[in-house]
Amino acid sequence: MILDTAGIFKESGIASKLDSIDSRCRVICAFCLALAAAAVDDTRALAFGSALPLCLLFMDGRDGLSHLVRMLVGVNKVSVLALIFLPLTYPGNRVMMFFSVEGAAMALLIIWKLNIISVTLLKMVASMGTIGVNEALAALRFPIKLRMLLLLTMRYVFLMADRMSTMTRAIDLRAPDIKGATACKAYACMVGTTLVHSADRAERASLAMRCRGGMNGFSQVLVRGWTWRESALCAAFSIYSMCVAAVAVMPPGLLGP
Amino acid sequence: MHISEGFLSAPALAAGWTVAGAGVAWGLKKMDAEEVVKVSMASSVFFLASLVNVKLGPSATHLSLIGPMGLLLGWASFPAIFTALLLQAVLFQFGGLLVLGANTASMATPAVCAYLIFGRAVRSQNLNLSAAAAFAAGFLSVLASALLVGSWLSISDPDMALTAKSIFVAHVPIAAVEGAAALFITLFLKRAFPDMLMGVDRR
Repeated sequence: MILDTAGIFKESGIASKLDSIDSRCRVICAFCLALAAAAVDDTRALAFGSALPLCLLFMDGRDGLSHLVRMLVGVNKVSVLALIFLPLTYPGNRVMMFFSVEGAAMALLIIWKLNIISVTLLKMVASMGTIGVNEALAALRFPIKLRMLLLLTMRYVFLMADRMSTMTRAIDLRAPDIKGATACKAYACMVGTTLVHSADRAERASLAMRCRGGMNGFSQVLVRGWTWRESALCAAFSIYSMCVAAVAVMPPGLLGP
Repeated sequence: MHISEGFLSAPALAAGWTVAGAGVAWGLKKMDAEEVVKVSMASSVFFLASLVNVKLGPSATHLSLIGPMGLLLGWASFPAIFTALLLQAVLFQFGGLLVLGANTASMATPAVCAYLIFGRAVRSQNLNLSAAAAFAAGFLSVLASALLVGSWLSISDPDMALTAKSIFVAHVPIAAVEGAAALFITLFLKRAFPDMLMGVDRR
């Protein structure tokens, strides 16, 4: 058994030129463009829609690019699966008995959309980190209970990761080649033990929180002011997204073959 | 189990966000403010448990533990799964932010159904009935989740029906392992801390 926690301990926002922009504006703009990219299936519209994500990709120089590329490698693992799986299961003309040409075209289209949407959302939303996402949720007036759940889950993930990695190490020391029902039982007991410990800890944490004033601390989030710059950015992203959708419905003759 | 960005059409995305939004809102309404710590603790355990590689024949798999999560958290599964998936999307780039609604709906709906259908049997004094219900909760919740994932794909593109069926079939062995894990977790908790199986909103 291996507990893969590499991603958790790297958690933090990534410095970007976008950091001076209000977090809710970043979320609104990113979702606007991502939704437009998800809605279109036309290659001309996707080509037009790729321009802004490409600018976002290169806007922070080499450091920003290398980090984003590492994230995109993770995202694109599913692309390999789509390229293998869709041609086998999609209807259409078959090449070499098994592979559908339409399925391969659909897989490529999905991978293209996947990358446009991922670059946009990773650069504009995920790069804010958990704290930035919480800030955005507060500014967008999401319920305090949901934000509290997000922050506390993130906090306890670190605590529980430590406990769980100790337990997985113990199982590996006792039985490195554990398989089948025994492995399943060992895994289940590990999860069960961690749950029992977590319930005990939750009881104490909630008493401590009540002593400190309950949810009071969670409502204190620094929300930046919404200025003309944020309004202009939202308007620009909305117009761009509408243009992407408009290109998709244009007759083929208007924008080349 | 996660649907990635780019696979779903705008109507499917909208439907996913509607179901997830309603579920999260209802889950938060049913959850007392003081229960948030317990739910977040359980959510973080399940989040981490899904990162453990378990050997399955020649390969390895990550378990999702949808059934046990439903049995333990009840309606709070919706906000808990939403939060866990949001963190997975931000930290590991699993799934995605635009498809967060559809992913939450396809995992949390079976979890809540497992709680509503099998919760009473799991809490019963009869150990055999309890074990059978726990296995069924784990097994069926994964199959239901795979079915929902397939449904989102079929809504987006009806030509993906065969892909959806293949996804469902591929999840049958995983569902059996999930069922066994749910069974062992439930039996462990019945011995060690039976109160945990009451569901957060009933404790």
